[in-house]
Amino acid sequence: MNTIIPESKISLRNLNKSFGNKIILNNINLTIQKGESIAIIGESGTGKSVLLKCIIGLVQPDSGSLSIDGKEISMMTHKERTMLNSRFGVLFQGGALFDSLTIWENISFGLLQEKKLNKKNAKEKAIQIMSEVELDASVSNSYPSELSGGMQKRVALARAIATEPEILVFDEPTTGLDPITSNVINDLIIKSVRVLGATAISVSHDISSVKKIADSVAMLHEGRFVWQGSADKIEKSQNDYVTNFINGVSNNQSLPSSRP
Amino acid sequence: MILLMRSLGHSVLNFLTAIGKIGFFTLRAVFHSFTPPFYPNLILKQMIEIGFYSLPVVALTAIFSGMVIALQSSSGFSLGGEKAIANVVVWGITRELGPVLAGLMVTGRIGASIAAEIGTMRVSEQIDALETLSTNPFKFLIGPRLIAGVIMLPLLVIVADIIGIMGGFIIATFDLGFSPDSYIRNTWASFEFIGFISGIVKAAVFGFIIALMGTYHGYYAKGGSQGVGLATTNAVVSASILLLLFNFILTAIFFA
Repeated sequence: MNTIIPESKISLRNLNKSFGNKIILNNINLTIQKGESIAIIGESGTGKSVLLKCIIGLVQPDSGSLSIDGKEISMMTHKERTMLNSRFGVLFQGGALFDSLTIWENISFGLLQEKKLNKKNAKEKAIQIMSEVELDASVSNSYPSELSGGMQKRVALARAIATEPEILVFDEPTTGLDPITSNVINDLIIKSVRVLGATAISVSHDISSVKKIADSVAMLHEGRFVWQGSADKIEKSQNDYVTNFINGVSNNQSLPSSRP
Repeated sequence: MILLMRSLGHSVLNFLTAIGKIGFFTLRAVFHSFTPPFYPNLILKQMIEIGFYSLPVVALTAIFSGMVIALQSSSGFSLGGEKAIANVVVWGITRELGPVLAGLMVTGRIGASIAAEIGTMRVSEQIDALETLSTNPFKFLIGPRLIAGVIMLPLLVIVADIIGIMGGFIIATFDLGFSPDSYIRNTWASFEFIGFISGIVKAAVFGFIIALMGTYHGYYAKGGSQGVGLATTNAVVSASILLLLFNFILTAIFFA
């Protein structure tokens, strides 16, 4: 937690969020350095997705501070917030491809919306990005429903990186994929993050994927972080929550919260 | 007793919350429909979807309604029927049956499909994806449907009026044996501008209601396929009820 403030890309301080009586995020503190690739792990329903949605601005936190590049989000105007959106690239869990649009229209959607390119150049750019994620240009005029799950993930990744964002967010990038496709997606994620020099935040419960794509790991349990450390140390961790998570053992209620 | 009061209070609060939510949604939707960026291609696509593809159902509904009015009124007016029947057909179709039946048919066809489409986009995170790609879903998804609904329903009702009156004409001439030219003369004589306009105004309001309920229930759909199904049902039911309520209110304003 002893981080130098100016270098931090994203900083969360005492962040709280509840839905009704249910507390989802309980005094969350997290600092993500510029260029860092962090993975947030934890069981289902521990608030990982809500935390991601707070960071990308789809969910408003109840209290606490969330700043990006030292700028407090809650103090931003609507316009600044919209501008900020274009600096994020998000790979959604189910891909969230627009099923009424073709593959190339999906990939160049952000570029066309921000009017960075005209339609013809956008298509060329889309095909170029498709080759970066190892997709054949022949599927550019297909619709998402015509592609396999693994290919849809590639398209979703291509859409996320198309606007060359500074912050990449991956919500369970390998869930539902076979081990071989998972590996390909992991490699593509590593490559994209490196090429863009982006800061990356991933949510995952796939430990092998986490070890591959992340530098550091933070484990969320019942709305608060119970462990943080570098990705290569995760298996040597003495923390009960982490070892249980890796071994697939359910945490029972009376478990003490030990910290390394 | 306390339990009863509590559950009563609870449902009143829920009702008021829903009204507030719909009101706020409506204001946002209308505001974003009139502020740039606009998406003319999407508006055109929705106009074709809502207007053009609804023509067959609306036309069929209208022709049978016109025929039924002519048949029913022929048994009612035994003396001097010819003039009365033309009159009842024109008034009935332009004032009430044209807009209401077209509205209800479009509710079933379009209200349901809007709710299902937007609901699916919501539960599959496509709406979240839109926002992260710097696109406001109110401008991109909701605005075009509202605009298309308000424009296309009146056009559909004009078609329904013409075809409905033609249905009456078919029965009057082929079945009841009236002379075609005198029936057409009587039809023209019965035509009144205010009745026609009231039907068109109703249609515009109905188009707004149908698109609003479809987008509202779709936008707030929750869960998976079940949530989308529920949103679709709610969109059709609420749009139908609101449509009939506003039909009454507008009739009262125009003619009372």
